[in-house]
Amino acid sequence: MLQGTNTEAAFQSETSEERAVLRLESVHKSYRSGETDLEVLKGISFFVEAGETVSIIGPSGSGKTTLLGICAGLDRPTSGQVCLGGHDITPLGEDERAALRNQHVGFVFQNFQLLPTLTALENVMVPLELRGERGVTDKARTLLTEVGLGDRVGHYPVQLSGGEQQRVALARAFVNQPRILFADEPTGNLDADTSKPIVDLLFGLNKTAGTTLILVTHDLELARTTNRILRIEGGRLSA
Amino acid sequence: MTDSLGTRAARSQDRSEMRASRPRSQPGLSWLFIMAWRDMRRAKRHLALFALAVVSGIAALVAISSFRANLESEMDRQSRGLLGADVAYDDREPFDARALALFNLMGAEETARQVKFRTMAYFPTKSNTRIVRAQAMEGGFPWYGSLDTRPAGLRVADSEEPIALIEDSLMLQFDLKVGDPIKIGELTFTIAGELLKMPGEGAFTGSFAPRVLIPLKFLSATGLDRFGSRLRYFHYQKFSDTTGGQGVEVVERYRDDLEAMGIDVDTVEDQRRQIGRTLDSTNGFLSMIGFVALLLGGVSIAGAVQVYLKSKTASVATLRCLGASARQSIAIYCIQISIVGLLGCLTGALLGVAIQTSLPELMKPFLPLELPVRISWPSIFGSLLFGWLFTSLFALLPLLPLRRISPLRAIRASVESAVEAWRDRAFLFTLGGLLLMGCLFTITQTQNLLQAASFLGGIAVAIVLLALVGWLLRFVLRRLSLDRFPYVWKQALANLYRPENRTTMQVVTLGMGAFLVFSIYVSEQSLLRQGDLAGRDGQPNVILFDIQPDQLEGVLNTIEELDLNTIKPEAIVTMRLQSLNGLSPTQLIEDPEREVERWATRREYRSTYRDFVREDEELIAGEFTPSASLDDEGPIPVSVEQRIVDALDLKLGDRIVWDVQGLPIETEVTSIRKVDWRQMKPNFFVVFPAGVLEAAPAFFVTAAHAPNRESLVGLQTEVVKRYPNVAAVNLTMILESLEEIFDRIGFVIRFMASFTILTGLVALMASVNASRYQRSRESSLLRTLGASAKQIRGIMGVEYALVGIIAGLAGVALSVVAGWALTRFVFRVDLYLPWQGTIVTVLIVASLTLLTGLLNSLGIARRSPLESIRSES
Repeated sequence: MLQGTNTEAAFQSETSEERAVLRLESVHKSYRSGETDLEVLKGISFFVEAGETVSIIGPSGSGKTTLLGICAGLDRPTSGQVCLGGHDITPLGEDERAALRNQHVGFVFQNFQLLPTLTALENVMVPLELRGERGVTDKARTLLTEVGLGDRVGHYPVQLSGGEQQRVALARAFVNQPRILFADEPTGNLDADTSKPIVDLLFGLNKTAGTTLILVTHDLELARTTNRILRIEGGRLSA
Repeated sequence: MTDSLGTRAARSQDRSEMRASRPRSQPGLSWLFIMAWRDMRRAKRHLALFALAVVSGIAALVAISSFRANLESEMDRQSRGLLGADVAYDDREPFDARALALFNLMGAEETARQVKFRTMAYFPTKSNTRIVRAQAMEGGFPWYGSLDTRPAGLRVADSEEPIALIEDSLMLQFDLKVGDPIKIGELTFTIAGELLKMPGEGAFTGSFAPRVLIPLKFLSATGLDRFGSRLRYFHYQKFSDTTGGQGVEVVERYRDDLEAMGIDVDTVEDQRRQIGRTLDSTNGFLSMIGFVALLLGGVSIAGAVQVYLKSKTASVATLRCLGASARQSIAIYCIQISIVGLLGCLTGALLGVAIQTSLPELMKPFLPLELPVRISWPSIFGSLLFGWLFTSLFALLPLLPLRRISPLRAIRASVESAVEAWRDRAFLFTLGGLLLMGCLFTITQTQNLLQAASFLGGIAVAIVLLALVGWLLRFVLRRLSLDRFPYVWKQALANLYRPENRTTMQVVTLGMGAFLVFSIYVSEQSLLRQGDLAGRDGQPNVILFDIQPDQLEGVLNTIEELDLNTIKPEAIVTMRLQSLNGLSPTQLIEDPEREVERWATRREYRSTYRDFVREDEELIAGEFTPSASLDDEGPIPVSVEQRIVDALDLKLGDRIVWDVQGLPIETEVTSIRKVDWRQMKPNFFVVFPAGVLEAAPAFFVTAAHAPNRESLVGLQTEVVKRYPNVAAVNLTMILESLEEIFDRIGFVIRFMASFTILTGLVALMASVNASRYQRSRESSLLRTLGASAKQIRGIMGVEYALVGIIAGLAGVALSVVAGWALTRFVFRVDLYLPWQGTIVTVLIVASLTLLTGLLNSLGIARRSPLESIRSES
């Protein structure tokens, strides 16, 4: 256990763990591939405190995305326990986890994942609308202005550049004021020039909102900007 | 154990806390509608095609059901007008005193008489003849409904002058005018006007023998009641408005007695039922064609929705990530598809109403009543609702898997969310619902379980076979080494089996269209072919019947004088089936062990006797006995024809007792013949050996070949002049009438079938459009790699033409089987396959497919690679 290597640290962490917004305990994940079971995650345990920024790095195929999916409640572990916002989400059904995501979680994806048939403004409104909130247009518009797209609210994703699409995605991720934000290679589809302002924006918004940020990335430079780096290799966390 | 219990308790607590933490307010239905609308905005053209796919089917259903409802309400309203009286009695013999006494018991307010018979009419001013159906009338019949004449209001029944009302088609055919003479039998009548319509009869009733109305008091002056003409006597009654119901009750009380005397009794209700049954089966058939269009529409919608939703997988995964429940995600698309379907259904209903206004005109010749065009809201609403539900259920099939899309797909595109459809209970439930709706609809439309089962079974088999053809095509192409083909062909052929191909769906929808239309065409051609031999290669084209024994020699001499070829005359003796192996006709029908067709037990058999088997007849079982005698011991050996063998379920050795005009004669089936019914010669179900029936009252029939129109008219004129009771029927004219009827029926059927074809084309457009985006990307890549627009168009052209040809061939092949079954078991004629028509049908299907495919793909080939790549990214 990465956090339990030192007894003193372990003692101190008792209080930190209680404050943890995300906690994983002995998480295993296997996939059935033909006749054999493929174990992708082999007993992952860690916790993330509220307001902390954490990067998960590792080579391709090491299980980063699988881990992110499980942390965010998009998937279930084969065994082990995942607590999000202080609640064990392991036994929850898909729809219950969906409601939880809507309440506490924000996402930023590598390929933006904007709904192509919705305008930028409508894309940002969706998480609030899903909560049943009304009169959300102004809130969404303000956030879009904050990310520098106040004049592009009526544009469809296809009419926006990659960087602009990721700005819309950021606005959408923060609009429901999530407790924890998961970002999967947020600059993976962007060039260096476009990446910089996006990263600044991501961290800026994160700081303002006091959100916990979990970042999956290949980019070591980006990873270093976070409080802590978790390295995953062969399905295990390594120091 | 304690641990696990503790964990479970903690989990349960977590669950309830999570539930408590969920927002109280959930997005309402309105949000789902808003999302559905937002998503639809960018796919209007795509979705419009879904709507179009249901338009034809709904239009056909609405038109037919509305027409049917109108017809039914009109038949109720005009029911008495269908018969023209409250009750009609008819018999082949003049009514005897006992029958008349029974008629008197009914307490009718008014009575009328009529004698109907077929005879030759001679038009002296035109020196021409024509077989007609004479109706000698007396009394005020018809009291209900209209007897339409030109000039209006003409009646012949009580005329003191020998006047005649003749059918308008006859006036037209011989260019006759009011005041012209018409000779019937020995009496010349003056044409007083034209007969346009009789109560309860459609315009086609008089196609073979146009109607001529004459006063009954002049019947004996024609001399036809004394000669061998076969007359049918009618007695009509009208009850007073106040006691009408009682009169009908009395009729019902004596119905059995009257029928036992050989008298047919027809009340308004009988007539209504009879006409209703005929129209019901016609309408049922037309509804089924409409239903097939709807079915194809549903299948094509399911296919197009499936492709459409594939492009929505990422959106659904994102929505799920953002917190939408599975139910909410599926509801957005359900709403979308339902709205589009409803719009299509409404458009279809509007079109159906428009078509309905033209149906009465189209069906006029077959309708026994005037049909005003009225909007029948219940039937429109019913068809609309049924069509909407039916097509929505079809669309639900590909929608259901959306429930299982994992939010993980948003971060990992390779995540498979699919569960085998056959294991999904909701999928099976929807499929069951569709089947149930289909069955209920078919049963209610055909009102016959066997017909419904055959129809549904036939359609299901056709769909399965066509799907199999589509699958085989893909299978063969996948295994075919395409390397030796030119690039365009290689690419086109490969497109037919690559992922996301719509080959099977296109083969099924287009093939079904071709199958339906061509089945009808084959049946029609086979029926018309029956008469094709008449007049050719010296085959007889004039048939002369009702020749009395003492007239035979004279008639033959007349034919000889005109130097025409004739066949050996044959005697006709009428008889009825009294018993078969000891069972009466009623017992035969009720006998569960024998599948007997009702008509064969009740009909009047016109049998002959001779000592040889004719050259054009084939002896297929047993041995023909040339002669016998009533004095012989045991039953008389007879030869029966294959059709009657089928109808009465006969076999060699069966014993049949015939009632030969009062004399029972016991016979045994000793041989079975097969007759080529296309030969326009007198053909017989039952042939007796020579030496048995010679003494029975008989008349003769013969046929002649007239090489040209002049000699044909000459023969008819001479025979009618010398022997007024002998009918000399011009077969060519009969065939022309038959052709005209088929043309009209064929038009109505083709009109309805065109809805199916239209649906097939829309389905093609929908499936081409569904794969448009994928095509666009492929084309862009090919363009980037150096393919010319011409090559891209070539690839699409080959692909669509091949699908069209395969679908056309498969559809035509299936319709040959269906045509064979229809001609063999329903129409009982030989199958005739018009090769030219076959090739033309395949070519038409292929060309339409090619054209639709290319038109719909317009722009893809012209699009610049950069433009496509940008929109794709």
